[in-house]
This record gives sequence, C-alpha cells and structure tokens, in this order.
Amino acid sequence: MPNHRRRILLVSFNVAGHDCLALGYIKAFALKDPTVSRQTQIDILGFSNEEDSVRQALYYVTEFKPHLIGFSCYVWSMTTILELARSVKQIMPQVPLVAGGPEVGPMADEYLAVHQQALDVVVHDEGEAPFLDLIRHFFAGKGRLEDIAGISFRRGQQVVRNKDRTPIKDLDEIPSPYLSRALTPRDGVTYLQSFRGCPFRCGFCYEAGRHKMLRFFSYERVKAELELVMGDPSIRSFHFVDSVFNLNPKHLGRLAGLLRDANRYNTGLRTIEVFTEQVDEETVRYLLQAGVQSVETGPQTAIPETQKRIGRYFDADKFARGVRLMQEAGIDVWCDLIVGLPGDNFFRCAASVAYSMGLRPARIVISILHVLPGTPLFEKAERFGLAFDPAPPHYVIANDSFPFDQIYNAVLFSSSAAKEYNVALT
Amino acid sequence: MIAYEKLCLGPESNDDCALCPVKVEQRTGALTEVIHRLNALADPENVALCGGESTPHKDLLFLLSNACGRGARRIKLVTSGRRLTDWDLLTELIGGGCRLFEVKIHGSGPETHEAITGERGSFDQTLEGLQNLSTLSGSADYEGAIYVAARVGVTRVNLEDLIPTIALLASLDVDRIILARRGIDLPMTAAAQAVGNALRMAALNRVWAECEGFPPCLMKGSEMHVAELLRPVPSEVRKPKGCRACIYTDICSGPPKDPARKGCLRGFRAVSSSSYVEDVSYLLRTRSPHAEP
Repeated sequence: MPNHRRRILLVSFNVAGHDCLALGYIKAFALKDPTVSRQTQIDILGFSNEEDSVRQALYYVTEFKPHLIGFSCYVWSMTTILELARSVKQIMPQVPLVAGGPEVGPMADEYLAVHQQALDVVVHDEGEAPFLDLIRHFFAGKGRLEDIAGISFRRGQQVVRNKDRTPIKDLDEIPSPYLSRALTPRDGVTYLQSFRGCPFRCGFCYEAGRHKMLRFFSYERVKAELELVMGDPSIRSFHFVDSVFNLNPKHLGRLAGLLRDANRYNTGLRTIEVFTEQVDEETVRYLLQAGVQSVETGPQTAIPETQKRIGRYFDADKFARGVRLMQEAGIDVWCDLIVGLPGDNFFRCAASVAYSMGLRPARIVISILHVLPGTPLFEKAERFGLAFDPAPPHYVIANDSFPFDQIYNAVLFSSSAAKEYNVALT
Repeated sequence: MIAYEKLCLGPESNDDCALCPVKVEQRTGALTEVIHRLNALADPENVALCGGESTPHKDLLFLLSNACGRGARRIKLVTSGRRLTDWDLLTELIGGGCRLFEVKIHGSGPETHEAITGERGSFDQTLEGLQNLSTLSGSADYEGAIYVAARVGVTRVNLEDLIPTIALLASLDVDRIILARRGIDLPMTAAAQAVGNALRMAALNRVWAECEGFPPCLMKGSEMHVAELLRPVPSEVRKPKGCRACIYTDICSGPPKDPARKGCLRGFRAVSSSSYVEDVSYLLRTRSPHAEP
C-alpha cells in the first residue's frame, strides 16, 4: 500500500556529533497531535557541521522528497543552512522552508527580507507550537498564516510579521523527545533539560534576551527521562543544557536525588554549566551525588568593570573558592574566557588569563565574542561602541575599549597561552 | 604565562653557541643532584628541562618519569631540536610525558643559524626536528596535545634574517615565537625596530610572538608583545638614572648591562605615559601563581 503520508523534514547542522534537542522537541510536540501523527511522517536529519558538505546534504534532502522542511539555525550553522535552503528552493520551489532557532528568531524579518530565495517562514522564538500550527496550515488547510502567532512570513516581496507568541507555560505539554522516541539517547551526546530560561542577564548570552520567567519540566518527567537514559549501560555520560545547573539548593538537591536514584551503571554528567560564586560545600555534595564529572563556568573576564558593563555578577574570591571546592572534590572545572568584551582590552584579557590559570582549572576555553542577535550586547551595540560582522558568526571587530588590533592580538595570545596550559598531563 | 621550575641537566651541548646563557652556577648535571632538586621543588607542576642541551642526557627518560611521579603536569624540554630528528626518541619523550617543546633556532637558513650555533649541519637537524614536531602535533593522535615554542636569539648576526625566520616558523605551525635579546653589543634601537617588524609579521601569519629583553620604551606600538609586561615581575635591577622616571620602572629590567658600552643607552627614554600602565599594574597584581616569584 503506498505511503500517502506527508513528509516533513527537520534539518540541523550539529557540532561534534551531537543531536539537535530542539528538533526532538518539535517532532515530539507535533506528533502529539493525532491527526499530524496519522497523516505525516516527520524525520530529523542531523548533519555534521564540520564534515558534511552542502551538496551532500542537498542530496539527502532531495532524496527524502519532503513536503515541508524546518531548519534549526544556530550561529555556527546559519551560513551553511542558507546555502542549502537556496539550493533546495531551486530543485523544489513548491516546498515551504521554515527556519527557527536563536540565530534567526531575533532577526526574523531581516532574514526573510534579505534571503528571499531561501526562506518562506521564520519562527520568532520557541518553535514547538508555531511549527505545529504551520503543519496544520500547510497540510490540512487550517487557519491562515496571518493568524499563526510567533512567526514572520513572506508574501511575495513583502514580509509579514505576526504578533509574538506566549511561550508554553507548562513545559510538560511538550513530550520528552527521548521517551517519545523522537530522539535516541546516545553516549556522550545526549542532552536533557530540567527548566527553560535563565535568572541572569549576561550581555553576550542569547538567554538574556529572552523570557525572564523560568519554566520547569516536572520532576516526574525528568525522572522518567533519567531512568531511560541512565538505564542504558552503553551511555557512559550525558549532559544537562540547563542554563544554571545549581539554580538554587532546593532544585539542585531534588535533581541530585533523581540522578543518584537513577544511576545504576555509574553514568557521569559532563560539562554542565554552574554558577560558581554560589558553589559551597553543600553544592559540591549535591554535584557529586548527581554524578557530575565536569563543569563549565566563567569567569568570561576577570575584570570587575567589564563584568559590570556586560551585566554579570562576579566576585573573584567567591569564584575562586567555588572552583577550588569543586576541584578538590575531583570535579573537573573548565573556565571560559571571552575575548572582545566591552570594557576589556589586551592587557585586561591577559590579566583574565592569568587569573584563570591561577585557579588551576582542568581546562581554559577561549572564545571570541559573537555579538549574537537578541542579546543585550546586540541590542545596545551603539552604547558599547560595538562593531561586529552583521553576518553569522557575528564576530566582534572592535568596541569602545578594545580596538581591533588589540582584539586580534589578544586572540593570538590567549589561544596560545590556553593551549600551553591545556596540554597538561591528566 | 606559565612559569616553569627550571632544572638544568648539565652544560653538555651538541652546539657551541657563542652566546649561550647557561651560567656556571646552573651547571648541575649529575643525575642525583637533578633528582634532588626535583624532589626539593615545593610545587613541581610545571618543570622545564634545559641544558646546555637537554636531549643528549642519558637519563632524560628516567628524569621524565621521575618528574611525572612527583606530580609534574607540564614538562617542557628546552632544546636545539637536533636530536628530535630521531623519531623513536621523540615518540618516547612524548610517551614519557613531555608535551611541551621549546626549540632554539636562530635563522631561516644555515648561514645565520650556524653562525650562532657554531656547528655545521645543525640547522638542517633543528629544522627536521621542528618538522617532526609539526607532523606529530598535526596528527589525529596528538591534536592539541603538543605545544611547540620557538626561541630565536636576536643578535647582530640575524637581525636582517628575522622576518624570513618568522615566515619559516609560521609554516611549521609553531604555537609561539620568542624573540630574545642576546649579547650586549646589539644595536638596540635598530634591533627593536627589526623585532617590531618581525612581531607584526608573526601576527600577520596568525602566530603569537613576543620579545624578551627589549624594554617597552623601545617597543612603542608593540607593547602587547613585550614579555616582561605580560609576565610582569617586579624588577630590582639597578637602572640608569634616566629610567627612574619611567612608568615601567618597577617592571622593566632596563637596558642591557654595561650600558656605557658603545653608546648603548641611545634610544632608551623614560616612558612618561601609556594607556597600558593601569592594566599592566592590574596584571601584576592578579598575576597567576604560576608566574615567577
């Protein structure tokens, strides 16, 4: 019997072999609708950002013969996705192409206006509910595009912006991608989430430009996911993508208990993000109970004036104490530094490298500032004298305290210094 | 920015460098004495094994193993690189825990390099050693796990050859280049200009380079590359009167010793203002415990 189901393809270009959790949520949420589940086939196609070429991806996509394509867009993959989308449009002009994700959402209208040959619809923010509405619209003829909140779309040459959508309040309405089998847990590259949002407003971070309200998955739901993931002995480690794993002692204690109870095969938790100034002996006990093997944290810069300018709380002594407590407990701490922040300059960057080395973390991770759409730095670029590339990956060029030649040299210096530090024997 | 505890393995060398900085008091070559010094280190996390020339030392692998056993996490070998032509030795060193190499090279070809080392054929061997390191660090097995610095002694002999030397080193993917002043007869103003150009050449090739022994007053515009400002260490060396008013006086090691010779002080001027002073002071205050005491 021929398969008359409409085919929907969800495409991402992922880093380091990871899956795209966002597409897992979108698929799981869409398939919760009985009609969509019955009448469509949704496939997730994850390419390697490092190894797969656009033409390779184009071949796969066209072989699927999809009726609708959704792209998950991040700063690292946007250029590739646009190239792919332009090519897809040449071969399948009738297939609607929808883009969502942190790179396009905050600049939805600009992307639609500039990339007319590539994109038809852009989702402003969280994609689960708008994408389901789009499926219903395109395949069941339900509703008009103008009535779907949370999207912008192109009508001819014109870009139409609909009103923003209120995010889903009860996150348990979104089925688990793992429990619903939209995604298959794999060793080292499985992401879980216990809440969405972030209590902090760091100027460089996409989360800071989004909803202030934190929304939580129920502990029952997290427990069920943990039992699935940690019940598989082939999974040696996995991650949580929570913006702050040690959000508060109560939440951390609850999570740690769930993790401890589900941990039958000594599974580890890796590179979770922690708020280090808040780490005390109790936090460390919970982290160990949770099976945390490594954490990733700031300070991003060790210069108090810069921290203040970018809206971050920083206490050098508390930070150092937090790192020490975790290291003493055998938890690897990775310290992140960003080159190019407003308020810094070459020698301040060097001071941050020196400060971080002094903490003796397991690794120092250097990155160049990406002025990401939707972040406070992006929105207030003029105030900081920020010059940056408007195209992804939006590398900083200069700011009012950090001229380009200093940024260029600071990248060379700190990358070399970090490599020298990181070749340490373990 | 990491400061290493230096362990001198002895004065032996397969080169005959006229400007070798090894001092008589550093010449502690006996194995028992080296081990004793290693054991006496309060914090042996970062150790540099140097000479003379470190690689001919017959107990080098034993010393590596000993250093690892003492808790060394970064063991740097300071070497001419000539014996790194021996692939077996190189892989044994890396397998034994040596992941950082500082290779001394003094020119882009045999003429300049060997004029300093005094050994015919030494350039080709040093180059081959660097090529072997480059091959290994570019391999999948050792990606990001080997750090190679190149130390170029800046002398009268190789001033004209600095830029070709930088180009050569950039092609070998070294992680850092150090241009270090050697000799007291160096025409400092001209040398500083040549070094400044070489530093810019390195930046153009995306290689981090820094200079040692060139005071910031001579390196205007290249202060970011002055090693003494990046690893600031309070300097108590007696400096000429003219340096006392300099804003860098507490950090800078000053002009070369014996400044009266050949008008060596020409070009040295107290720096009265710099946009970097405050930040350099900050760096001094917050410097890593890894920094030299």
